[in-house]
Amino acid sequence: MSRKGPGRPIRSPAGGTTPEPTLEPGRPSRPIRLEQIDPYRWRIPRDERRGMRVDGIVFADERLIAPLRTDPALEQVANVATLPGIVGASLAMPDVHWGYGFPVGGVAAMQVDGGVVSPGGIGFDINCGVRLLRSALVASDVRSRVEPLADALFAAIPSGVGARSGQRLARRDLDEAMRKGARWAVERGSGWSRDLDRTEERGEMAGAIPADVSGRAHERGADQLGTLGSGNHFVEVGVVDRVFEPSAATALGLEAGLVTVMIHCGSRGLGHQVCTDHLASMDAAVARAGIVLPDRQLACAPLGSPEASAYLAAMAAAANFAWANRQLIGGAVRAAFERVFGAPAERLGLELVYDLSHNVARIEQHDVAGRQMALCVHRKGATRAFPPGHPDVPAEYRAIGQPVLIPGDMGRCSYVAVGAPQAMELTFGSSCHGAGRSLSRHAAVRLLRGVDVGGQLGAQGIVVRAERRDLLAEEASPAYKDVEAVVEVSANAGLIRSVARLRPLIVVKG
Amino acid sequence: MTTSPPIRQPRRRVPPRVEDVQTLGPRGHEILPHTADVGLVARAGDLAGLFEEAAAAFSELTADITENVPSGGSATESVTLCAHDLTGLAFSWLNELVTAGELRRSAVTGAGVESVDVAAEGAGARLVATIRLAPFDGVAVMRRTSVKSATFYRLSVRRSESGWRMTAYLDV
Repeated sequence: MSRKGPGRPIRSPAGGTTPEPTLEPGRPSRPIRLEQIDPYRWRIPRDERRGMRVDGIVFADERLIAPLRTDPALEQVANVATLPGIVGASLAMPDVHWGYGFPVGGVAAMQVDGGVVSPGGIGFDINCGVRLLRSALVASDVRSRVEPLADALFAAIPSGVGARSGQRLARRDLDEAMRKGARWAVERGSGWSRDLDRTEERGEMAGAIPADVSGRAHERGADQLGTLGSGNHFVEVGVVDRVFEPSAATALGLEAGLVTVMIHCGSRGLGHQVCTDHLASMDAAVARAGIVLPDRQLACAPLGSPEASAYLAAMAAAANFAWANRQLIGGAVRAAFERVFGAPAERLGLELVYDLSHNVARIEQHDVAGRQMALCVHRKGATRAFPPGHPDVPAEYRAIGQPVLIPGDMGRCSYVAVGAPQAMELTFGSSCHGAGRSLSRHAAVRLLRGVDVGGQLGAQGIVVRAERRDLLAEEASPAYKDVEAVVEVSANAGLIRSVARLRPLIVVKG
Repeated sequence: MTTSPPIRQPRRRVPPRVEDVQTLGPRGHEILPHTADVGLVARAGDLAGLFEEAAAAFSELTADITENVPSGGSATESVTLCAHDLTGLAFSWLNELVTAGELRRSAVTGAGVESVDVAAEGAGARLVATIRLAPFDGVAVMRRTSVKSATFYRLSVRRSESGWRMTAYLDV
């Protein structure tokens, strides 16, 4: 099969002649024109693609933009710019990469009046996010018990595709979890009530209606609470190896040498099914209305329509499921540390630093050309980065800004940052969510064929537990951009301030 | 608006195996790379064969299956799916494969598609099929890439010179 060239016209089932889309992976149908705004921003002008209502803006420096020039992610940024009601620009964070519909690392704000919500702008893993705990332990404490701790974490947190918790929730309990989110888990003894103070939206998104979540989604989620899942999800024990802003680090309870635990996961099969269900219904509605989109994955519905309202209610329910999930996993992490170190989690200082979402849409107030507007801000692989003083930042962190947790890859490092004022002006208060992939899973496996990734990590002093050994190649460092470059661009563009860097000691992969 | 009569695809009694692709000429599938996810292309002479071939691609992507799959625990699941067009039907079919495997903790080993009925474009499409499953046992049936959802991104079902072709990208 030829995968070169644009393809010749073929007859559609109805008899019409339509061009066959290019199948060449990694290539947009034609290169996207980029204009440099400043060292950290590039514009895709709104006349670059038919139907663009606003410019696209990509946050990148010369290093990060070079590989993007031939990446379909830029075409996806342009496609998002065609959506009705989009305000400002279709935005791409420095970790942007090829997704489906929206790029991963995409941010788009829609007017509540006249705009749309697009499930593809949130992604399938609704409220995929990151939770960070700190401890009073230091690296040598962990190194002396590193194998038992890795085993205890791997045993305590079911991981891998289709991982089950061992407990199947009744519909009534699952619905309660979808209404209450992290609070549901705390009420069942997983974690402490003060965890909620350090969780975005207190881990309980308003407006959740479990009745808008399908029976199949219930079925998929019933035994998945407390499970990690697969792919790029992980639990990582790390150590603070560098502090950039001591006052902010102190406010977050971080200091050089202390051990941390980072958890990355989301709403599991339940969230995926919510997205699938509502995408299908919106796709049908779009077709009925005769609306043509550049990508069907951008299927959307006008805010205020029954389809949009049902999706947002189900999305909130799935987001709360994800918060309950991370709260339970946080509880399992504390229990594993207690068993290995023989001391209560409180004495080990295993406090929650913060828990955030990077796949969700929210109605937020933003200043647009000097006027306060209610906007539906879609973040798909992007993190809120609200600045100091913002009312949605937890009281204890309001003086420093919202914590922004930026996992890197398992062989390098992760970052803790805080939101900066310019993020409100440039990105509707958003920043990067991680390193961002640079290689496909297949390409990574090909590149690392014959390489003992686990052994290499071991040589670096990083102990790994994984459901499948071949997953390690898919998730190895060469598969990701350099998180330091991503963070540097985010900081230099004024979106965040770097606070601390974390180095991995133990990685548990799904 | 006039409605075309449905195109009824002939029933395939013996679904071909992946190894037979070369003998089938235009029938076969290919896995496409994607930075974060994964894609597939399937092709076949008719629509029923195309949807079977997509299931074969899905199976290859998600599981390592030896020739000695124990019969114990294997299962079939009959499905009837409707969508407003062929692309929507492909979306539903691929997602059906995802959930059938996930809920039964099993690998999709293949599918037999009894019929694919298509009215005029946008007026409806319907599929009747049986999905074949075998439980993951870590020996004869092992997990591979975990597919979590099908997407509409670049999803297409189109006529080709030699029959039909489906392109799909899957969230992993």
